[in-house]
Amino acid sequence: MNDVGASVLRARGLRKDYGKGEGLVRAVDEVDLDVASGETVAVMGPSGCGKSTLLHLLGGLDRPSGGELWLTDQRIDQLGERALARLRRDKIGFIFQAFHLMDELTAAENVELPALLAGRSARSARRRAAELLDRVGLADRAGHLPSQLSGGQRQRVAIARALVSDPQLVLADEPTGNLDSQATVEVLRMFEDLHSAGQTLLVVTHDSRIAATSDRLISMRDGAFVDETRLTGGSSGDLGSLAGLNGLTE
Amino acid sequence: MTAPGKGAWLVQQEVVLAMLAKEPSHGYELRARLREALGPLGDAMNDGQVYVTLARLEKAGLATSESSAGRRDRPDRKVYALTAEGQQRVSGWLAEVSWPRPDLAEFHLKLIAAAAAGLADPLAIVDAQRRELLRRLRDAQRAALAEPDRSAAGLLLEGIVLRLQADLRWLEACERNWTPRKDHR
Repeated sequence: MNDVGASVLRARGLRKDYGKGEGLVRAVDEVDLDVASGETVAVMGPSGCGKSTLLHLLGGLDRPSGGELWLTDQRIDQLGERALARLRRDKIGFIFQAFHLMDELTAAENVELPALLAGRSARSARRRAAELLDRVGLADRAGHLPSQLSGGQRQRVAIARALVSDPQLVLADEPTGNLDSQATVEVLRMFEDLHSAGQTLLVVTHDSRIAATSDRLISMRDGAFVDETRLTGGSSGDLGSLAGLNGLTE
Repeated sequence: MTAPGKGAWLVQQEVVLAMLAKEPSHGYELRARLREALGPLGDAMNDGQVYVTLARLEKAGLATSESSAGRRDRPDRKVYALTAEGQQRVSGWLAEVSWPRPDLAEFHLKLIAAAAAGLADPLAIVDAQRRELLRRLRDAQRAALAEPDRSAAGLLLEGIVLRLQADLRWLEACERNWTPRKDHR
């Protein structure tokens, strides 16, 4: 079990509205959220429930219509554009459904890029990228272009990229949404690995397998949180009954 | 759910009880509600079974009956209602999360009965079941991921994971069905 520390992400009354008057849609409706350091949280819900919008708000990719948002001790919902861009680059790692890798850059270059943009030396960025590609099991693919990699490998490159600036928080939006079941297992292993390394992680998904790698699961409907489940420390252990082993031991 | 296995009658009793929770009803009304809820699966249901179950419920003090106008000896003429004890049994059944896996028909009827009687929010029942399934999925998946590739044990665990996923996907469908529709979405 991880040590769960101070709050890394905190939202209070977070809201996002689209349209106005009769056509007003509250995509995110007064969400309160605390993610502790080292914790993995999954937000699940049917498509259109507002979970991707929520992730965009939490990562500073989109502006809330109301409410307050903190990353560690810093209030971020009121930051200017440039400060917000810097914060995203230095403190938050993103993993997207469609990978969002640069097609013309190699795996290693894709991973290095955010570190270079953050002002790290070319040498240190290259070293860090090599470490991370090794960690995601792709050391031997460092020189490959994304088009030469499988879907699961591309997502692992994207995971390495998300980690390159040692972010305080990693946000993932349907990370297995474009993957077949074998590639999903590769990404699941990565998430379990991040989890045991103590990375603070929030994932929005409707894939129950990814959700099941989390400590805590929040269900979202119509823009609001409706249910919360702690997956750790609960009742468990009788997997045998699921495999039909009950009768065999009597 | 009507298979003559262990506990099958008990399930049947609770389903019938829950359907009475909405309002006092004739046996044929209950039968029609079950038929509607089960569709083609209800065809195999023996028509007399509802009456047998109602008689048992009455004997157990969970339901009472009152003869309405017409011939007193016809079971069809009786109107059945829940006793306080019957009411309690229904509430307990609705709140209980079945495990190892919910019998599909039982869970389905539970949602229908909960909504019809207004005794519980079907979505809350879905959420409770999902919590249970996700905890097992986490355990099974962790165990599966810890196995080396092509291990025999990993294959069995993968089977458990896939079944749990199928159950969870069906719960999503239940959730969609029971979510109140909004015009602007």
